[in-house]
Amino acid sequence: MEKAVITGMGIISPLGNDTESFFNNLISGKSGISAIRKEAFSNFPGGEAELNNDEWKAFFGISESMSLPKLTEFALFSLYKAMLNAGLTAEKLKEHRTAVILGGASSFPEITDVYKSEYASRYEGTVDPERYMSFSKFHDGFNAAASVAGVLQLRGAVETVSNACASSAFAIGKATELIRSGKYDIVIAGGADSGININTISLFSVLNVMSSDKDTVHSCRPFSKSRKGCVIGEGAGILIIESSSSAAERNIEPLAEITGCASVTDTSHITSPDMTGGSYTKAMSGALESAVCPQKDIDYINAHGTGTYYNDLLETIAIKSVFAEKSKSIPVSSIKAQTGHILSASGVIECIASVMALQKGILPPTMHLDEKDEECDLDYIPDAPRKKNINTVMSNSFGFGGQNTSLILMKG
Amino acid sequence: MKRKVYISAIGSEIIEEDTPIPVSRENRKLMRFARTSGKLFINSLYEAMKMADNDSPELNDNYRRGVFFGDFLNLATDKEHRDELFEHCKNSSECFDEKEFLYYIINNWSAVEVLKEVPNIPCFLAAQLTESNGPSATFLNSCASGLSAVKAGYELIQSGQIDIAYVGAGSAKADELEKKVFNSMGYFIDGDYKILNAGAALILESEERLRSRCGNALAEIVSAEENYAPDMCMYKRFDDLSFEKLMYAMDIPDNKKIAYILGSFSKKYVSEEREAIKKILPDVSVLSGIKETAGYSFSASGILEVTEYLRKGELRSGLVVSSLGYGGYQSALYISPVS
Repeated sequence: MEKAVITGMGIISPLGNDTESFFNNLISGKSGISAIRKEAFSNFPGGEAELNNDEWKAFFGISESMSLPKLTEFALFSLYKAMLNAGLTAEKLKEHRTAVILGGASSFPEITDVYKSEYASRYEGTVDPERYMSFSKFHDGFNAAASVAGVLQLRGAVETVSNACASSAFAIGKATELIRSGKYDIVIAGGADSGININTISLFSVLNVMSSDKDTVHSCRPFSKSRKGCVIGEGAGILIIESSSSAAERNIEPLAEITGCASVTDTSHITSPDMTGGSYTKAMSGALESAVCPQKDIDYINAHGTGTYYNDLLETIAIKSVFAEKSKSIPVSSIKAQTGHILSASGVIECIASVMALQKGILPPTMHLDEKDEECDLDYIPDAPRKKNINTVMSNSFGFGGQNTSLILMKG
Repeated sequence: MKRKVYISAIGSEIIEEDTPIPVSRENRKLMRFARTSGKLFINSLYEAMKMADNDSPELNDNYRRGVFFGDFLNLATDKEHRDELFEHCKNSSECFDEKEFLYYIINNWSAVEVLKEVPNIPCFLAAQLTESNGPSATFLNSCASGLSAVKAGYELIQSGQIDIAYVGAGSAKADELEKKVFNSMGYFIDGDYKILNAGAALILESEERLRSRCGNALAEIVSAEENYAPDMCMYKRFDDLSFEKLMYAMDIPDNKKIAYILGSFSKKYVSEEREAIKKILPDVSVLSGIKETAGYSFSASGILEVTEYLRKGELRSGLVVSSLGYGGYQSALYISPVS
């Protein structure tokens, strides 16, 4: 069976638009959270990402004046960075059997344009669809993956998976299987998302999972007793996942290996996770089983850690259940206090943080853990990064709607 | 070794006019959270579950079950909710006001309304209905979504990761605005396919599981593939090269009697597709399928072709169904009579 290795990574996030500055900001405790700039949403905290260069457009032969949907731009920018990192060009990708699997948008920024158009359609008589949007903006949910394959002129499988906050982790898991099966040499996997839009902000508000804290920078406090919910964010991450033989042929040193993945569905309740933590336990145990990795080998867990009462409590319970007496000695952290919850892209962004931790031997902290919760009593790496040489990492992504995925990564 | 995978039950629902989608008493609670595409999928799945009538939960406990759903529109708020939202905003301000819109939802809507916006909720509801315990996923691969869902279930059974897959798709009829967007690109105007509200579902089972419950199979899945058509994505033209690659990947024997149902999402591409398939499989019998007789149903179209073909009677020869969708997403399924 082929090994699935990561040979390139690209990111756009509230903490930076390249993997080095993202990780440096992460370990220096910097926050990417502030009051959302857009006036309509300014009462809410958010982690905004900003794309401020166009060099990626030239790389893909896209005209500078061409306007693309925000998530497509995020995905293409991250792809550009990942391809540079992996030493790949469009021509080289076409020479290989290449597939694309992206975690799809939970919603998308252009939804406002859709609403505007519908408003115009209903009350202003005639409608010119181009007035507010292009077709691609209307269907931004699947546009990012199509654009990635389109600009590269790829003819392999292309999929957009929408598994809420576990979407991109699921995409990475599926990419791993495609590589292991020998069907593809390279899979471009990841996701792009922005929760900064009417639909997502209203959804999180109505479901009462959004932090209402006035102190925007500290508003997301995973595993803290004073936690009040999550903060939405935006960004994208792309991984170049490649068979070890293809990487060896290209003489590329892998950044990490994906050794295990498992996805399960929690059907207990539409808005609450399984209150025993059982479904999270199954995802984590399944990933260990798929990696043929004993639990004692896990050196660090990058938690889903949203900062909501139940997620953090049940993830803690599940970690204890899977790792038993070892659970208290495994460092666990959530980066969402600094990035916000980047929804369907959170899995890939946290995967990038985990790979950087493997490479640098530095574990990112859980920031703003200001008050100890007796029910959340693991080693959460509070407030400051930790130096530790590690070999194997687990990364958890638990999706709203019961779709839970865990991944196991090893040093390349 | 790869396991054999069978289609053991089918279900579908087609609603041509703007009539409400029927909701059975048993599924009423579940359906509150489903948007149109989800309702159509769940009704179809429910029909399939009834068809596989000895599909008992006790028996299922020993088997891993997954759910895979294909959808097309991820912004299909139910019309009645949008009507309410727009009326409120019109009465409170002169022009579209995003903030007004946002706070109206926050202050007036409940979880029932907002959850309908979440793309993966129909998949969750189907997992709840089928008491699934394995993986589940929602595919947003344009019109190819439904067959992508079939492929996902097929591959996981084949590799032994699950034993049963509940797969399907649902597609809400395009609303006025979306129709205008499509029309501006030259699709679904006079002479093109009529657009339907439709859902379709299949139950896929491993041979071992099917035998254990003494169930009957309607067809065996021989192959399922997907690929991408950059020419369709970039230049809006039929992509011969990608179509050819898709068909070759399916491993369809050219010495057997095979029917092929055309998969292009618009009539614009039908003659090129017909020529292309005849070049690859000269003896194939090419059929227009339900899109010609009843209409087109975006993400549900591929599975719907399978369900409606199988409803006509016993499968006597191989059948290949493709979905060649907008944006370049392509998928295909090859089924044969049970050996």
